[in-house]
Amino acid sequence: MLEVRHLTKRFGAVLAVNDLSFDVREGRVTGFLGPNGSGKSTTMRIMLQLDRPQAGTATFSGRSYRELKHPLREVGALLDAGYVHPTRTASKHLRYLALSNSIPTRRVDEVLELVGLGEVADKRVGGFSLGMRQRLGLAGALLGDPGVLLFDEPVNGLDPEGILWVRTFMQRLAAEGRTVLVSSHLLSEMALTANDLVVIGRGQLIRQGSVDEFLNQTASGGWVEVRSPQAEVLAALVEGSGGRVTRGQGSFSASGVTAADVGELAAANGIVLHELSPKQVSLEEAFIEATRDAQQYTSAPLADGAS
Amino acid sequence: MIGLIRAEWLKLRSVRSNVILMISIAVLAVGLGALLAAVVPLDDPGPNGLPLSLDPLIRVQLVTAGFGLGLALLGVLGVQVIGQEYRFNTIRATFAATPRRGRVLAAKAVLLVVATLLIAAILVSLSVAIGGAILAGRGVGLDMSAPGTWRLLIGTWLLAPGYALAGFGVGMILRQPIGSIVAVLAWPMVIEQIVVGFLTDSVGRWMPYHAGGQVVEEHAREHMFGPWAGFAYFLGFALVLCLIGAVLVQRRDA
Repeated sequence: MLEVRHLTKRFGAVLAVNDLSFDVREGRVTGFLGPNGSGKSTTMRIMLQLDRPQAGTATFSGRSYRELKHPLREVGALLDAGYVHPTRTASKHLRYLALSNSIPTRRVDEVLELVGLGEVADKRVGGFSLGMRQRLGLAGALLGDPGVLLFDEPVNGLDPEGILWVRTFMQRLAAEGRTVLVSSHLLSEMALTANDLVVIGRGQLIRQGSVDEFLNQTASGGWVEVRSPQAEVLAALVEGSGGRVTRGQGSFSASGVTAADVGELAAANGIVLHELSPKQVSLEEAFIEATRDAQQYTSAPLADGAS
Repeated sequence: MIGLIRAEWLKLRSVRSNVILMISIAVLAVGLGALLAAVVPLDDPGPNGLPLSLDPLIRVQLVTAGFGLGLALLGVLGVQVIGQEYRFNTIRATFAATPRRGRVLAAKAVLLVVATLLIAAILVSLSVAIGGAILAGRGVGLDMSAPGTWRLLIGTWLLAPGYALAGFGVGMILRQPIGSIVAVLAWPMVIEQIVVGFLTDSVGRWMPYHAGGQVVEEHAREHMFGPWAGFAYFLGFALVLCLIGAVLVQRRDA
């Protein structure tokens, strides 16, 4: 169990993380989601005490990272595939990490095989592709066989086969009872991988819960688009039957009612319908809606609100 | 702690530029002394007005002449063990593996001291053996019983960890290797030279590298610290740099 409490981190005038609290549970993949620049990486660096927060704590079963005697055996992290020296070989990169945490060096060969880098173990990391570096970073995270795993954008630079492999891998780690936190700015990716979500924007918590809850809470799940020459009359009828209505020009959108409800109301009152379409909130839309106020870098809307 | 020191040793020797640097130091330190021992005229008057054949300490300085630059390059090695980590961001992997940063820095410092003492012991011995043999071949070998000979040799040996620690301290303070390397080379070779040259009788003696260098001077210089007082002052200076650096590394984001 990983607990984050009241984290605050300022870089000069920029408030990167603002009183952030959330939990990451065991045996589940938790997606850590937010737009670019929302403070995900900073939060993960603070968890490992690489960055010093102005306030707050991150604890692993009640202990801070500093208090772990051999942290790599309890917490494995892939923060950035670039944390390697280009003229060092993959095997020696892992070997020094193993030495520093009293991990038997045969684990180095094991994890290199596990991530598919067995054949390039004695090659310099400088010649690795981004995907290979990601795999090496993953090997480093798994080195100490830890119960908690932190991955910052792990599928960056991976090909589709690699993405699928990482996704399956994380789910397997969680199924083994480990705590897995994976950051991403892509909700669609998290929808396929994660069980739980922690959504942040501008360093603040927006939502925490299961992926399903997130969809249901945001924009109440779905709505119905209605177009009719008698839109005004029909909208009033829908409201009368308990639906919520947002009016437009000769149209409205209704929530809290199904398309069938609206269709029957129209038929019963002899109202002509030009359009009646049920809409489901996609994960991306739910995400954008939830983080709209918290977008660090918003793009100007396209001509006809491309939401 | 043993594991951490072994990890640091592996890091040091698994980076190509460090290996090249250590080989360069060896070639320079031993080679320059040997070269000078072979070519310098023995009967012309030396810096003390005596011909080299009659000045045993100048002959020791001759065969250890390569350590002038050799020691400076050990300072660069001191910069590298921390500067490279910041340059390539491996400092984050290192501190994630060992969040108690003081332990990492201590392991690096111990490694530097042990490694430079070992390297310098070998290189000083080689210089004496090779340079001495060349001089002996020309008819005037080293006189190991001449007063001051052992002070010069032991002084050269002990300056090695001092230079490395000073470089390590500068590397921790500045974090990026290029600037740190320029600093540890330009400070003793340019800035101190100017200061000591123009302000000999006032602040000159307080220039740390010059103070440390007194231990390998053939006789005490006016206005300067004595050989071992100067060495102690230099070592203190290196340790203060390390201390400042360690405090900064602990406080800053990795």
